Amino acid sequence: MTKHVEKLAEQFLAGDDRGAIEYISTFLDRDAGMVELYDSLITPAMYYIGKLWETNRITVADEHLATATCDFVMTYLEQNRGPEGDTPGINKVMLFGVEEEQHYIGLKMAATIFRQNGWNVRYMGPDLPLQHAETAVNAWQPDVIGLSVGLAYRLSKLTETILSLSKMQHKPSIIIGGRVADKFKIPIGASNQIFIAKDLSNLDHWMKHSYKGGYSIDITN
Amino acid sequence: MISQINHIYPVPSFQIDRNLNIRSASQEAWDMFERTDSLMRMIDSKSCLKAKQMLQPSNGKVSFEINMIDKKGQILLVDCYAGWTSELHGEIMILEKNKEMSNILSQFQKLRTRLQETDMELLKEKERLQQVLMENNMLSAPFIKINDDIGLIPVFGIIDQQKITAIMDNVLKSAYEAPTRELIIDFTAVNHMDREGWRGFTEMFQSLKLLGKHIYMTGVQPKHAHQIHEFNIQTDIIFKPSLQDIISKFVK
Ligand code: B12
Repeated sequence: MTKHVEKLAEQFLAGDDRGAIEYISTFLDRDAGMVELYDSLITPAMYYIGKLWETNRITVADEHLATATCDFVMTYLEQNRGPEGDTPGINKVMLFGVEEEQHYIGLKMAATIFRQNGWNVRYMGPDLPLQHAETAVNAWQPDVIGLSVGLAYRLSKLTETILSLSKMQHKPSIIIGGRVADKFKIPIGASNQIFIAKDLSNLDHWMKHSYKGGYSIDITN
Repeated sequence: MISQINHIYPVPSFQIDRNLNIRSASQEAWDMFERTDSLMRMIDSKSCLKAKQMLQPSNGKVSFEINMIDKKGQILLVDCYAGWTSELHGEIMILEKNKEMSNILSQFQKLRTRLQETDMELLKEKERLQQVLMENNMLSAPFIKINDDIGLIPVFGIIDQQKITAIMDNVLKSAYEAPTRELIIDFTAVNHMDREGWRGFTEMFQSLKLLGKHIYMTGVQPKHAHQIHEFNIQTDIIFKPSLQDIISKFVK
């Protein structure tokens, strides 16, 4: 897999979206699910890009191009690979990144996984001011709210967001993902509402086995 | 004691030793960063290793990007330019990445996302239309059984290679399954055909003959007649002026 990851990272950095799509389809089984594609290929490719930056071989400008390419490839693959999400089900999830957070690739992946599990998804993108988030949640009343944090510096903003949203009347479940999600300290009193997903297979498992609707979540796994 | 460097350039800069302790700093450096005696303390934890690896006397002159923490506790992406005058004395200059540039980049990213969505919608629409066209093509030569002896295939629309490919299988299959010996192909609703289309058609006629059918063509308009002549493709089909004539003749 490492070979594939590095090659894919190169294609992202070169802005070669067609090449990347073609390359992925040469070795990834058509039936391989999106969870596998994301967790074992695209995420490691983005992390590898991070490594290249750490060793001074690329700049943040390159990362921007790679991200845009990665984004396009993901959109394409979702449309052309995953099972055609039939009519969205009754479970509603709203996804966003906290204010000033710009890392959104993981969030977008989570949106796909929800969609493929038949959820009704509202993807609000990264950098959503808390006030807007509150309004949106109030209006749409999602069963679950998915948040992503990529930067350690956003943890206090995340806590603020969670404290506010967990108090909403309809008691939405909150699922947190992203690179620094495991550094997040679940506020006392909100633990039965909050679940931290370390990756997408974790999320997938949660949806299929632990989520019971409402806010009764099993947080033991 | 950290002394002050007096550069003519208005930029944050530090003189450091090989342990990355700060020996002197420019005024601009302290305008930007919290006072401390170690360079590492103003660098984001995920950039520390990179900074350490780059800032080694044996590397000579280097330039690199890292994330630093400013006075307000904000994370900043900066360009560093560094070098060593001796094994012990290094100098580093820090330039904040142009904010406007990053605004433009994020704007660019938003636009790109929107474009992708539009592109994807168009792609889906195109695929849907192709499918519709294909289905439409397949329906444009239905096989109608008039009685046990006579079958009718009215052809609709344009006749080109694509259309022929789409209808061929269906026509041959229904003709094979039906007991009818006489087969009328009606061209009344055909508005245009091209050479490839006509060639494909004659191939289809040959196959139908092999199935033991007698083929009659009706509804051929003057413009078709002209084209058939022009394409100069040999056929031995029987042409009849009108569909009504031939049906009444058979059904009599
Ligand atoms: C690409 C990238 C960028 C792109 C972001 C593109 C984008 N829009 O997403 C750009 C260039 C814009 C960028 C900007 C910045 N970045 Co950056 N970036 C990266 C890089 C290289 C890869 C990130 C990535 O796409 N990962 C792939 C995704 C899929 O991984 P993931 O987010 O972890 O998601 C997985 C899980 O966490 C989970 N998940 C994620 N979200 C969610 C949500 C839910 C609900 C669920 C269930 C699961 C889930 O699912 C995914 C699959 O398993 C990392 C390096 C690294 N090692 O991570 C640095 C990195 C994260 N960035 C960093 C920094 C500092 C920044 C900047 C502050 C400065 C800069 N470099 O320009 C700005 C931040 C701007 C801001 N205000 O937020 C640092 C963070 C350091 C720290 N101390 O936290 C890193 C670690 C680089 C480094 N070594 O310094 N960055």
